[in-house]
Formats: sequence, structure tokens, C-alpha cells
Amino acid sequence: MKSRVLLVDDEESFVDTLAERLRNRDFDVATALRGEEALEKIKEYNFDVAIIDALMPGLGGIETLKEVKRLKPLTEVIMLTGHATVETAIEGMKLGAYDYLMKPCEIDTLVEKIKKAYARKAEHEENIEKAKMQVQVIEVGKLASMGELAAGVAHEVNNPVAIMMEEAGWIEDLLEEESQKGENLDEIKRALKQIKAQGERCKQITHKLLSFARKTHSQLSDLQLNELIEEVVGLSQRTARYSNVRIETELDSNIPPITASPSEVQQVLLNLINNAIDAVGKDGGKIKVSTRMDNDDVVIDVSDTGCGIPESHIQRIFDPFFTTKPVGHGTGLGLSICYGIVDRMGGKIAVRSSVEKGTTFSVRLPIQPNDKEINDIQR
Amino acid sequence: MIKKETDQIECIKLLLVDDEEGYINVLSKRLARRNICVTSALKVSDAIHILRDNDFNVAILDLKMEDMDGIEALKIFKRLCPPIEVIMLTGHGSEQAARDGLSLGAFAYLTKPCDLDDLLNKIRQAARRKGGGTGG
Repeated sequence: MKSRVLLVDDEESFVDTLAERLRNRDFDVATALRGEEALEKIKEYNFDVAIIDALMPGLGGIETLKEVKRLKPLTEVIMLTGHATVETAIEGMKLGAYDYLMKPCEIDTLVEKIKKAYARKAEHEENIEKAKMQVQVIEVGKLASMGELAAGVAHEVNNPVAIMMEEAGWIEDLLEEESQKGENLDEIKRALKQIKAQGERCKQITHKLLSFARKTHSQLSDLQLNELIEEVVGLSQRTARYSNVRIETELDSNIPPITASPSEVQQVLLNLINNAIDAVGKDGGKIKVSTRMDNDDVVIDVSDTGCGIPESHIQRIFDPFFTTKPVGHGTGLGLSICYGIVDRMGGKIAVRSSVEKGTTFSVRLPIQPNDKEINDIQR
Repeated sequence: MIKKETDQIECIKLLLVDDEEGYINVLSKRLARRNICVTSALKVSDAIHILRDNDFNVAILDLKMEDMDGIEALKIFKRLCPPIEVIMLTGHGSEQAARDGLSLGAFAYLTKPCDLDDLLNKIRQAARRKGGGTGG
């Protein structure tokens, strides 16, 4: 691709000649005779390199440079100066110009500088892209490996838990045969019951963990999202009323049916609504569940007027076992499970939150499952 | 690796295959008390040897065994002894494997850890389906 160069100088003949010579050397050149004109063009097109005369009437070279850097930080700027304005050129460097050249300059020198500036811009862009990619890869990879770890732990824990519960049952079996004496008998029975109850709790946890990590799928079907939402909201109304929370829906009637597993989508919605009810707390408030189309995706927003999520927590809310609820009241797996389900459906889940004002979770689902989903099903 | 817990004639003859020794030990005892005649095996290969020489009504098979994939084991069981009813034990999340098992002729599956009463019900249903005879 040709480098796109903007040439800014108030001397028309100089600009025209230079532009022609640069075009001959295979650059894509636009020109401007004034700073203001240059900024119009900068706003409209993406230039790789801008060559700006330091001394111009109206908007001067330095001001033009500042504006260019503000509007398009990635565009590299080369300042052109006369002998008298070297100081200006230095100031330009401080403000982010890539280099400066003294007029009259050799065309080859200028070409050399433009190429270097272009290379620097390209490298810059690449780094930014890489940085972006890296963040995403780490996030997804981290959750994936957490899922694997969680599944591994759950499987390993299941067996000892099963044995413990059976041994407790075995003691119960044996106690039935014992003669009904001994003051400790009731206490032993109580303790056994407790062991069983706690074993049951372990079982619930490992099951939740495994459903966060699981690879299998429930049956896919054509799903009328709005109907499902009304259903789930209906289910949650009781809990909501108890907490003095009003749940409203605002459903876009134009949403097409999506291909998804009803039980999985229901699980996501229930988790989000229950979290919202908890966030609102006993003081009452409002939850709104809405649907809308965005390009080819369906978006479900669950917003609450609750306590919000502090910035220090927001990065961790999708991590397995992260919870702010008191010990014993939440496993910290709800959002991990939601994340897992939505990710497997080829969708995205995002959160916006403001402390004391409320939180909105947005679940974006494709109308048709993407390739990832289909591959998973075939596996 | 072979343990006979009871020798009652009328009892359901059950082959219990699981690689968790602690689990089969306690489960064998509890089932034995409930008139089920349990033979246990810690490995699929042991279970196959036992199955060749003995008649069973029902087998309980953990799908996650170290020496052989549970589905492979199920196929061999059904080939060696077609009338045997197999109850699979799975971890949660391996429902797909369990469904594959059902289509290969397994009687039912339960997720581990399972409730003893649920397991007993399944064992009795399986034994009834087979009509109490051995036939193999």
C-alpha cells in the first residue's frame, strides 16, 4: 500500500512541485496551503505522514502540529523549517513531531524521512494491535484454564465425597442394629446427619463447577427469547417482591427466534436476575430486563438500581469462586457459569457499573450459533 | 480383587466396577445389607474375567476407569453377557458419554456421588427388567 502523505505549506508553487515529485516516487499525496485546510483533511482522511511548514500565516506550524497530534495521534509529522525557525522545529519535536528538515531540502532526504516516519507509524499500530490482542488472549485463556482446573478439582473431589457420604450411611446402617441404649446415640445420629448435609453441599459445589467447565450441550432449539424472559422474570418475581424489588421488562417485539439451548439461556438469565436482586438489597429498587437487536446479534440487558460493583472487583467478577457474599451464601460460580455458557454460544457478556447507582449486564447472542458452537456439538 | 459379600441365593447378583477402593468397599457393605450380592472389581480387566465365569443380573460401571474407557467396557460387557443390565456412574458434565452409553444398551446412568436409595431403585428396576434370571 502507498504511504499517504499530507503536504502543508503556504507557498503554492513549492507545494505543487514537491507533491508531483513525491507522487513520482509512488507516494499518495494530498496538499493544503493553510493549517486550517490541513486540519479539515486530517479529520476526513487517515494520513500516515504529514509534512508541515513551520512558518505559515493563520494557523501556524506549531498549532497545526498540535491539532494534528490531537486528532490523529498516530499520524507522524515532519516539520519543514527555514534557518530562522529552527527553534520552532525543536519545539515541534517536543510536541511529538517525528523530525524536521531545513528548506530547501533534497528530495531524496525528504523521501528517506517520510519512509522512516511511515515505518514508525506502522510499528506503532502493530504494537497497539498486539497489546489489544494480548489482553484479550490472556483473559480468555485465563478463564479457560480456570475452567479446566475447576473441572479437574471437581472430579477429583467427587470420589472422596462419595466415599465419605457412603461411610456415613454405613454407620447409620450399623446403628440401626445397635441396641437403643447409650446417651450418645442421638448426638451420633445428629453428627451423621450433618456429615451427610455437608457432603450434599460439596456435591452441589462440584456440580456447579463442572457445569461451568463442561463441554457438552443441552439440546438446541429455536428459542423465542422474549417468551423465555417473561417466564424467567415470572419465576423471579416472588423473590423480588420479598426484597421489595420491581422487575420490569422492555422487550423488542422484532427479535427473531435464536438457535440456542433454552435451559442454558434460562440459567444465564436467572443468575443475572438473582445477582441484580441481591445488588438492590432490602431497601428496594428496580430491575429492568430489555431486549434489542444490534446488527445481527440479539442483546439482553439486565440493569439494576443496586449498589454497583467497585472498580477493584469488576475485573474479577467472572473468576470462579470470586464472591462478595458472606461465606456459605454464594459459591462465586454464578457469573463464571454465565460466562462459560455465553462464550460457548459464540456470544459476549459485558458489564457496566457505577457504585451506588447500579449495574447493567449485557449479553450479546448471535441468532445462529457460530462455528465454535457447531464444532463443539460435533465433538 | 474379588470379594463376595453375601452368598444368598435369592439376592440380586451385582458386579460393581469402580477404581475407588474406598467407594466399592463401603458400597458393597451397604448393598449387601440390602439383600444384594455384590462382587466388586477395581479394574475393567478384572471385571471382564469375573464376568466370563459368573452370572450377574446387574453391573454398576464407573465410566471413568483408569485401565479402560467406560464406554469400551460397556460394549465388552454387553458382548460377553448380553442380558446383563448395566448402570453407569458418571461425573456431572459427562452426560454425553452417559447418553452414548444408553444408546449402546446401558440401562441407566447416575451421577456420582449418588444417593443410595436412587441407586437401589435403579438396581431393582434393572434386575426386574431382566426378570431375575441370568440367561447369559
